[in-house]
Amino acid sequence: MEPEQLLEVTLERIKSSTEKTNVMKALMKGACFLVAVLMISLMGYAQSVMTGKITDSNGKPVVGASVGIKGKSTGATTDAAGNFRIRLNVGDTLTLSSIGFESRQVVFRKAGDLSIRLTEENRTLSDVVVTGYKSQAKTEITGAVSTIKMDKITEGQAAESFGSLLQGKVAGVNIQLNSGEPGATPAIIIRGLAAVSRGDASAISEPLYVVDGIPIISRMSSEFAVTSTNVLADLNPSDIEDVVVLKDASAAAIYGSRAANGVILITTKKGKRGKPQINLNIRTGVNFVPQLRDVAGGAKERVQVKRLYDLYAPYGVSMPSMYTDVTNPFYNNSSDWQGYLYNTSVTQDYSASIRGAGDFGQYSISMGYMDSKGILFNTGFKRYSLMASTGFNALKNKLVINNTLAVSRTDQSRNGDALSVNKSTLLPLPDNPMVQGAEVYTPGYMSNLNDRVRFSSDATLNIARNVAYKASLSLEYLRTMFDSLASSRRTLRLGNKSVAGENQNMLFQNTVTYTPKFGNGHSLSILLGQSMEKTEAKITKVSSVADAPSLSQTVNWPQGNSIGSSNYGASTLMSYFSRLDYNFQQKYLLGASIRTDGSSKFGKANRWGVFPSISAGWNFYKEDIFRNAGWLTSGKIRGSYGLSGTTWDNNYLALGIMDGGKLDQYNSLIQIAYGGISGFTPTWYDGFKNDNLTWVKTNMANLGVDLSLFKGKVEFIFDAYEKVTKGLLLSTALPTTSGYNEVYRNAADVLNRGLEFTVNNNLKFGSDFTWSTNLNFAYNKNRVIRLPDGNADIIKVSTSGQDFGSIVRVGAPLNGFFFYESQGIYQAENQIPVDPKTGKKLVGLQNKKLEVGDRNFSDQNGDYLIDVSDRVYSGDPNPKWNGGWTNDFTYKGFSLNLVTTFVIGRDIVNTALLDRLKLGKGFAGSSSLPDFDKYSIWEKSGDNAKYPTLNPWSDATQVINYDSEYIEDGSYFKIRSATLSYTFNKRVIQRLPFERMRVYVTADNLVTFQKYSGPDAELITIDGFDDSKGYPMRRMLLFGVSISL
Amino acid sequence: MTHWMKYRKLLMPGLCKQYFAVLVVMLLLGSCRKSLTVDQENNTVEEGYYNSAPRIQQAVIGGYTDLRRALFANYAWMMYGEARAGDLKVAVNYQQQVANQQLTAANENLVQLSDWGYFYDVIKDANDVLDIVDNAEEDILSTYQKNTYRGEALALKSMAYFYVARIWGEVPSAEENNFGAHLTAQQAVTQAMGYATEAQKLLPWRLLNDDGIESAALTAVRFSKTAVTSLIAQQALWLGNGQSAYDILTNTFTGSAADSLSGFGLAIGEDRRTEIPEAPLSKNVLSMPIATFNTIYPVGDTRRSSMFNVSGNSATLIVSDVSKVDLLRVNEIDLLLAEAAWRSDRLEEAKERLINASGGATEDYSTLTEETFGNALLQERQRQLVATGQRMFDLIRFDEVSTYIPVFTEADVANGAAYWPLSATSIKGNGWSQNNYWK
Repeated sequence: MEPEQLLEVTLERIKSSTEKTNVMKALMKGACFLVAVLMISLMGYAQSVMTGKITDSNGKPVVGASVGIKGKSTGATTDAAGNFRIRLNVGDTLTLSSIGFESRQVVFRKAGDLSIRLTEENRTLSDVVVTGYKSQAKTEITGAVSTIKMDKITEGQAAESFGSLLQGKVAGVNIQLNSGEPGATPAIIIRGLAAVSRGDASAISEPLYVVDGIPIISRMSSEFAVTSTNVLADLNPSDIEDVVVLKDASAAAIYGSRAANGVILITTKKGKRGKPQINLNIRTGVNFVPQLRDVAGGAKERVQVKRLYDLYAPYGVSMPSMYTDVTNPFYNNSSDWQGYLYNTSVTQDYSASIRGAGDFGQYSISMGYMDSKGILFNTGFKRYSLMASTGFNALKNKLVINNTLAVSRTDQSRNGDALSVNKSTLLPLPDNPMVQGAEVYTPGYMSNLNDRVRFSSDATLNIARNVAYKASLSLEYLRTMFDSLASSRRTLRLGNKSVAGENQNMLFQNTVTYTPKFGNGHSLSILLGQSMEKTEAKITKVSSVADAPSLSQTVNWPQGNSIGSSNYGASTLMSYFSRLDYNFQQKYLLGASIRTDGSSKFGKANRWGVFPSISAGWNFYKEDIFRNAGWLTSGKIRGSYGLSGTTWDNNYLALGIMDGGKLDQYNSLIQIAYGGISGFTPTWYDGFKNDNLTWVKTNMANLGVDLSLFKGKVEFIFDAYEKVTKGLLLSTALPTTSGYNEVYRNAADVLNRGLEFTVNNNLKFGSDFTWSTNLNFAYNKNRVIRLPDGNADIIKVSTSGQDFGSIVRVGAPLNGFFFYESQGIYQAENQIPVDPKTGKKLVGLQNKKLEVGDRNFSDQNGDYLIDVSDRVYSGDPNPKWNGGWTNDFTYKGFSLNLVTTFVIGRDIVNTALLDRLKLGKGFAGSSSLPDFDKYSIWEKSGDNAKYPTLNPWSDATQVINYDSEYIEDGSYFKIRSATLSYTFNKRVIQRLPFERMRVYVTADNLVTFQKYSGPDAELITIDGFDDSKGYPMRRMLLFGVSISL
Repeated sequence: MTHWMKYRKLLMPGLCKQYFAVLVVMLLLGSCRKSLTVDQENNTVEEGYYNSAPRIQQAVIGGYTDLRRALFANYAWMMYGEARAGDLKVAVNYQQQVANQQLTAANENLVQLSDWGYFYDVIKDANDVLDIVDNAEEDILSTYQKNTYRGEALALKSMAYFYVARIWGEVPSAEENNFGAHLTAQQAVTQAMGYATEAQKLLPWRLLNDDGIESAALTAVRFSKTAVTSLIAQQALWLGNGQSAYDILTNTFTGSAADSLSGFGLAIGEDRRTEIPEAPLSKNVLSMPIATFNTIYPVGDTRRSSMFNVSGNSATLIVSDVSKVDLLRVNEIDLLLAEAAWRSDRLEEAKERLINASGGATEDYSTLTEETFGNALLQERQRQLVATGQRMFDLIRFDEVSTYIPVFTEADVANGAAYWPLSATSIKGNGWSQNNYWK
């Protein structure tokens, strides 16, 4: 090295020191001289091969750490003893990095400099958390923000989407898997439900998903929904570095009009300094069939059917021959449909990645393939994913350019008969020769294909030391395709359906950040930004019926007029936003943000919404009185208040779209043609014009405490919040004489109040055993506070007129059950009430003459007639408490990870059973029967029965949908997963050809403790009904190996 | 403060240009506010839509389709008419409830039938058309089009008011000047007659098709001068004003060529309606039990075979044209004239006109007296106008409800039993209350 170079290095070193610049200048002159003199004497020492050692804070060797020399290409890696050898010159700057440790730079002057201690990444205090449009030190955050490091979770667990992996990890985030079908969409609700509708009873308040700073398409509105797959399942969980959940208004309000239901920020993995990190994770899981629904089986079913027929012989009904004729081939049949259709299946999941970083920037390329075969015949989910992310540093790090390209495909398949398995056991299985020509299980398929391409590019220009400008552009294209083919065994007719959807999102955003530090610890951070977004969706549907199987399974265009349909919708969003954070010595923290969003969804009069927030925090542990409190590692009190918003799916609601093809309240669809001419009137509308329609606004107040004790061994996080969602969109009645029926207004308000608790501990016993635990639980109370039309109750009814049995009522939680109150069974004639005025007996539902064995419903209004006016609020499907408890134990190379989740205080309806007991006139031979002996069904006087008499021939069946007897306690405690693993590294096996290798076995969906009498208390819709057509959750045993090269 | 000043000095000089550039970029982007207006590429908004004659005609046609829905949803025209009076059976289960006068029974079809909303849709459509025509640019519509569209709108509005008044009795007005005002049945029909009278001046005998040629097919399903005159006569008779019915009928039809007359029916549309399983005039939808049939059409009446197919114990209506449902038939004109003459003290002329109209009847109408004429006319109307939905209204008009529907006493009828109850939706939020009888 030339003296000049050495001087330069030294100067660089001095420059970067924290000493004040004016002092520096004076010192530099003298230093230059000294260094020059020193350099001459050290010339002989230069260019020698040196040996060094890297240890951790406990003095243990760090294996596989990268050692490099700044500005040179030479490098080395530490061996099992932590030693390394490298050719060095005096004055070289060594760069040292290892995963799990903070990177360090050391200037080499003497041999002693080469005993280097690396400190473990401190996961609590110095963690930098990605928040809205920027990153913040955890200690400076004033909002309610939770971070989940995904690495540990994804390494040992295979899942179709990251959502299900977050279950039970974050207080206040309730994640429910409503179906066990591979690729199904979990319901993710942050801090309570805040969605109201008159129809769709399972409308949820969805959070906003942001991947690497870009909001992504996370779902399609019902108008443009094509596939049944979880839209977010195309993001390989193994590509995610961490997930940050912004829960309160202070954290989320910067995302303005889409933030009211919380924001989930996903940061994907990037390359880290050091040598290239190559990772492989290979796992195979065996999916076991869980306990299925109870089926009586052939002989028993026949006996039960006979019993019912015998009971009702007086009605003149006669039994089909397969129940009476012993020569009938079906008579002795007992098909195990569930056994046939549910089978053990295999899940394969492979991911590979190469990542690295240096002065040039970073690169990260990852690939993933998952094939999760469903336990149900012909179902499954496949994912192909590729993600390439690169970052370049230019202009001496003044300019940083990042590009990310993510390409993925998910493929969810189903049988042509959808998910139905409830066939009569007397019917032969499809593989039985008798089946020829019988409609037992429709051959065909359904395919759901989602292809997504995301490209984003951003450039950050560090204009000055504290000022950075960032521009980013993102293009997202999501194509969804649904294809189905179903054929009849009997007629051989084929039905084809093909639907294609295209969704595009274009985003351009600009931010400027200014982060000066001044004075005695004043620190300021100002963000100014602007963004513009356009979202487009298009859908095309065609279907056809062919008389004979054709070689081609394409959809043929039939002759008639109705050959298909297409639809297009677009919306734009323009935003300006700003955030300011100030702290004094990290002790007193202040934050404020404001965002204004303009959306094309609104009328010109009310296009812009303003969403401000303010927050403050106090790191009280930095106060003098706690200086000597060694037990207190950190402590913060924080509070926030703010306003955020949500919009709705319909792009043109405010504009008053004329539409001749809309079902009216009586489910009538007008045909617009009349006498050869098409009519088109302003009264046919899809959303009445309402220029006043505006944002749904959510006011949220949050108070929180973060405590870290005993050097971070124990952590407590507590939050209390109140969230008032105002102006939820609802249709409100207009006088029918106006020519219109309804108009959409911002008409409903919902309140959610809750408490969140998190306890973490990281305990070390001796040098080899550690135990860390995360326990979180949250309480949420939900209440409707305003409804339109004078706070009139909303009894939810689908567009096809189906009553959901759910009610939205002021003062009560959302979507309560609106049921008839069961008082048991009438055991004796004299129990049936008699109207003293008329001497007439109480009349049952559907004007039934009540008899012994019928359901005793409470006559709420005392009119001696059970009818719709006797329904009462009978249960709350919203969980009161939910949470999770995760435990990690490690001993030397072994580790055991246990994840449990729980829900307490939820009412659910056993619709699965109800639907099976509700026998219609054609019940015989149509579907399987449960074993009646296992249910307490009334048969004769004196039976202490829970369920009333079964009479398939009665027009007024006693097994009715809204019977409070079917409401059960939906609380459960579930051991979600248990992972046992062993990690090999060079410290353990010196001759290991890999840097690190971990072998593991995971049991997924291990065991559920529940009071619910149905199969699984988790597989319940948001509004609390057990969807009896549901798909049970498999139990999986996953074997895997994860290798780092 | 001093620190702050120092940092500002350090930063500012080199930064001004860059800040300026950033600000310019952001301001430029900020000027793209136009992007918040999304083109309605496949959607239509009302504003600016009706800017051509075909589009204005679409608005007119919309009124007919809405009237069609009002009268055919749940076979409404029959339920309000012959099905309720017990003459005709409609092959749906709730018809029995209607025939038994259980109109408030818990049945979703009956709930719809008790809702007047569909008729008010027609009134709104008509008022929209009047606005659209009045505000149309001058050269868009020819005089013929302007008159016809206005005339059709007025006739549609008149008919809708006439229906609601006959079905529910007291009804609200949906006109801008007195929206929501309570109108007695008489007031509502008077208002309706005013619109029809205005329409009569505007409507042609025959409508022209798009090529400007008179079209019988078009005239049969749209309002013409003939149809609206029948409507006015019906309204005048409902109001008990025989003389004005007589005047309008004789003034209009005297000297007019028979072949220029056209009835009015509603063209059938294939609406997707879950509440109506078959088109209104599909085979076997409308039938008459043989006993009723024999009572109405005594043996020897030639219309037994010309109008019905008898098989087993029911008689099925012969429908010559299933593409439309007749509401105002040409053959009603003579009956209207007979009634108008009778009600304006011209018994002899009335008898003559009744005899003219009633070919095939077994009765000798020449012997009718002032007292017996009414019943004979009511019976002929029942026979000839079967399936036009007027029977129940005739019973009300002739004050014969309790005679033919014995379940109602005269007191019931006086209390409003002949009218339909109102659905909850109809009453909600407008200060309206249920008809006394159905409370």
